Amino acid sequence: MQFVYSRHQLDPKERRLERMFEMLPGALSWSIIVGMTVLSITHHLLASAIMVAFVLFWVFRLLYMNIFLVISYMRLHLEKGTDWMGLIAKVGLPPEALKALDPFRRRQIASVSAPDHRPPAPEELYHLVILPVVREGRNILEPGVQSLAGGDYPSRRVLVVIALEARASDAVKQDVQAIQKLHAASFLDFLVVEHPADIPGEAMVKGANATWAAKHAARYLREKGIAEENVIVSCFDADTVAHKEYLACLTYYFMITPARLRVSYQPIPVYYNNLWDVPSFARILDIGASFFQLVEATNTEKLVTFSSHSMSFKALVEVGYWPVDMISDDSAIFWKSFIHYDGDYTVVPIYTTVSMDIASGRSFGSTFVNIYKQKRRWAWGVENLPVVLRAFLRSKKISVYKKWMFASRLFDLFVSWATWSYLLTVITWLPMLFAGREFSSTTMYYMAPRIKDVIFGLSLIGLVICIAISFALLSTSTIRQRRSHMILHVFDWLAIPFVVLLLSSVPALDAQTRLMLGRDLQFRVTEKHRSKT
Amino acid sequence: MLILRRVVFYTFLLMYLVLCPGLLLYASGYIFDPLTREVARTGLIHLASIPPGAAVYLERSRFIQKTPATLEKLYPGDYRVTIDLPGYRTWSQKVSVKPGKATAFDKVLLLPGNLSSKTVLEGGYKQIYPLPGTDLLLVAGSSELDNFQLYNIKEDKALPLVGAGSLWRSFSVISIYHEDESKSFIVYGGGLWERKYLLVNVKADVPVITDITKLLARDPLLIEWDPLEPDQIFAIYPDAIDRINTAMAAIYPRDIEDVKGCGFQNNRVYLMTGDDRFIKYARDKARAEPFLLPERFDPRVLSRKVFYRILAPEENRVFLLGENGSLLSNHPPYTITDKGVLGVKFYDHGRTFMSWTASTVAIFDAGDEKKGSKGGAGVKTVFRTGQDIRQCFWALDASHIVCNDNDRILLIEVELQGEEHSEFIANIKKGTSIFYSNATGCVYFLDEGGRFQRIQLVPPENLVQKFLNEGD
Repeated sequence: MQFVYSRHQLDPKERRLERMFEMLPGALSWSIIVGMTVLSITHHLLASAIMVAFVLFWVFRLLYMNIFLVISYMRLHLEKGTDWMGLIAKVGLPPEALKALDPFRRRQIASVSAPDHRPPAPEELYHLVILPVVREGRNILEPGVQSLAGGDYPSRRVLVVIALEARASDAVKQDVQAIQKLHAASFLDFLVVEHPADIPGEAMVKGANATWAAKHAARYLREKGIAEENVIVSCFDADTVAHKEYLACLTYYFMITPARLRVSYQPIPVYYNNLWDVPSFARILDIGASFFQLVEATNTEKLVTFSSHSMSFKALVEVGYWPVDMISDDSAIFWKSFIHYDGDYTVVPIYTTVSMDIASGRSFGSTFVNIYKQKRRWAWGVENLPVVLRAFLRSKKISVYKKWMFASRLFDLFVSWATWSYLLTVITWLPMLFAGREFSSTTMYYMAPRIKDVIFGLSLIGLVICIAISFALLSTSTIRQRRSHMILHVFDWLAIPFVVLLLSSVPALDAQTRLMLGRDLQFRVTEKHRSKT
Repeated sequence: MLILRRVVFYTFLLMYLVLCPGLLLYASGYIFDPLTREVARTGLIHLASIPPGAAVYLERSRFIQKTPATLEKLYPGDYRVTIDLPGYRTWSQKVSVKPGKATAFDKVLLLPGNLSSKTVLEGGYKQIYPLPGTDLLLVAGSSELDNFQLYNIKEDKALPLVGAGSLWRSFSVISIYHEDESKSFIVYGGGLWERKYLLVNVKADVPVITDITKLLARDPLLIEWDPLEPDQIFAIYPDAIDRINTAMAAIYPRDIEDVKGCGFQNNRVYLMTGDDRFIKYARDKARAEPFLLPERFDPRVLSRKVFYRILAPEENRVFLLGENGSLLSNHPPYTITDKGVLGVKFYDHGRTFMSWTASTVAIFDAGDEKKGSKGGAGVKTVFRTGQDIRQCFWALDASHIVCNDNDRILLIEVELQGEEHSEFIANIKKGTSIFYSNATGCVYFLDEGGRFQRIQLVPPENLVQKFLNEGD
């Protein structure tokens, strides 16, 4: 489908339509918050009944998500340590050569046995890893490069491209050159591509930088005679440290996916690089983000790319690279591909991790502010919703089911993100606070808090599961941790209602309100700090 | 995985669709009776006592829960509820349970079985004069100021009101005017041919007495002032109001004329004119503003001959207390009481007040005004068996009333849902006043022997809060 993704290049009619869609999520979130607040003050009985129904709904959803968090974690645990290179070698072999494998793997490999699904030979495949850099120094960037060089996959088949912003400081540029000099020999090649500032039509966003680098890489690959369909591109954050299995695992999943060119590959992002260097509220939020991705990984039908991920380079070129004027390039590239291929584009979860830094600052206060701004930027992913709705309205080829499924998912995701925490921590008590004599003489007045207490008690099951999975994930990571850290970590979870309200719901509402009012959010590079040890 | 997700999703959805209406119905009092195989709507009774931890009985059955307790799933009907805590008087109430309704007794005050009084001041005192809204009260050994003690409730300390060298030692007191929360009061008295008005300011450690007799041209009907502006005193006469500036010793005769009623609050003067209009003005601005009321008073209930005190004026509501004891409102029910009201005491910034006659105590809740327009339910008489009620005080966050009725102290429960409930506390010296302090939870009185006594009725405020928090 030919579709103008950028909202800055729309004709007035389309722009008006998109503007209307931009207002929807914020208007809906505010209607819920204001509506429930007013209802709690004016119609206590009704508000109280709605809140009982909502809290029950919330706990059901929490437990539902917990089930899939456990399943997803188990899958991650089971796949860890797999001999991916050995499996890669077996893809394409006849069934009798696969007898030693477990049925699950046999089934996976058999799925691409048909001639039109057959994957390219492993030796034909290349990886392109793009690392956008603007202010990240050597201590942030180098561990990621080392992880690529020291992984299970032969690094000589990996092309690393540092997408360096021209506006980066000299110190950063020198760091990049030093890293290039030190590690270039480990890879197929190590390019540093400088992205000029102020290109017309571009915003100061990561997508513009990555796109510039990807276009440069495309020329490089053409010169080398490497086919685009044999290249898997991974666009990482500068602080991303890929698990040593990452590229091998990615290659395997690329090979065993029949529609491998119409798929993005989503690893599980974890935020362990500086886990113990940041305050607890920062830690808990990003662990929550990892959990969310773990749960989402089980929902392949609705999975959307997030943060560091990979895809076919051919698809990237065909869809016209990342949007150069949108902040949420990670999810935007999925939607752009989905629309471009008329809904024939999906995301495959890969059960390996990429580790990143938790946003932080030099003080408690600046960490709080930085996290707030980072979460607002994440929540700015809502900017995709109007574009997607506009595309759905125009597209005749995307099925109604998919349109409904993704539109409702987007609304559900963003509205619940902005409102639920407020409903649970504030609104749930409001009807009691403003109760008049009429309401306080009903059974609902006394029973509703007791029912909600029982339900909140049930939600502790979810909390215990989260703590357990959190410990399990930490124990499998390579980061060093003291026993005191682990004890402290239990208490981290107790603050979650307030942390989520202040550093997740409020930034999300902020982002939606800005979009509703037609105010832009400039991309801001998140500040990150790691201890030297 | 997708199939598993769908199975779990639809299972959860089904569970939610069954559980959610079930929970809402349960919260609304509906239960399924397995014996009759019918759905019945029940009610509940909530009980919280001070102190908590008392045994709860419903009829003759003892509940396993102790206070605070919620007795739920009760079929509609009348029940006898009893709360019992060793060492305390047993509390019992007949409670009517209605379907879907909760009958709450949020602050059941359990009185000690042996309610002993403590002597504060020995000696044969004749009268006490409360100064509500302050920590002070006057204890009089005789009518002469020389025998007046100024008792500080919080500090539990009494000092003579006048010093040894004061001119006013032998001044004989007839009556005392005081406004709630004011740190000054006016004493009227003196010799038969030389009546005087003394302004006593007790703000400082040593009371300051000023003779303001010359500022009062004749004996007023009422003397009132705004506690926020104690220097401005209003002497109210049937035909006009004189304004007196005590700081400047200045009098403004007939400062306000053609008035049928007045009130002083928050640095504003509220007036009801002869043609039943309401105006207000700030003294410092000296500018009158109309005081618009969306609902005017029913002219049929306003008497031409009666002077009214304007109580708790707000933007759209006032109450009028007539000198004939009528209590009127510009909102339904327009006539709260048509005669006999002896006093009114507000709580919660004017949203709730009590009024009393010689035999009854009634509660008016502004929150019920809407209801009142339909059936006059905004007013509830909580005590009907008084013999000669002279004083009433709010106690324990307006859940109780301490009352001076025919020389005895009663503790009345403000129970809007149950039956009338009062407890006898003590007998007092004939014709004397009492005072109840919310700060200390004590009632102060003169016993029959004239000793100044106090009884701890309610635990101190911090302890009450602790009990209530335990209850939560």
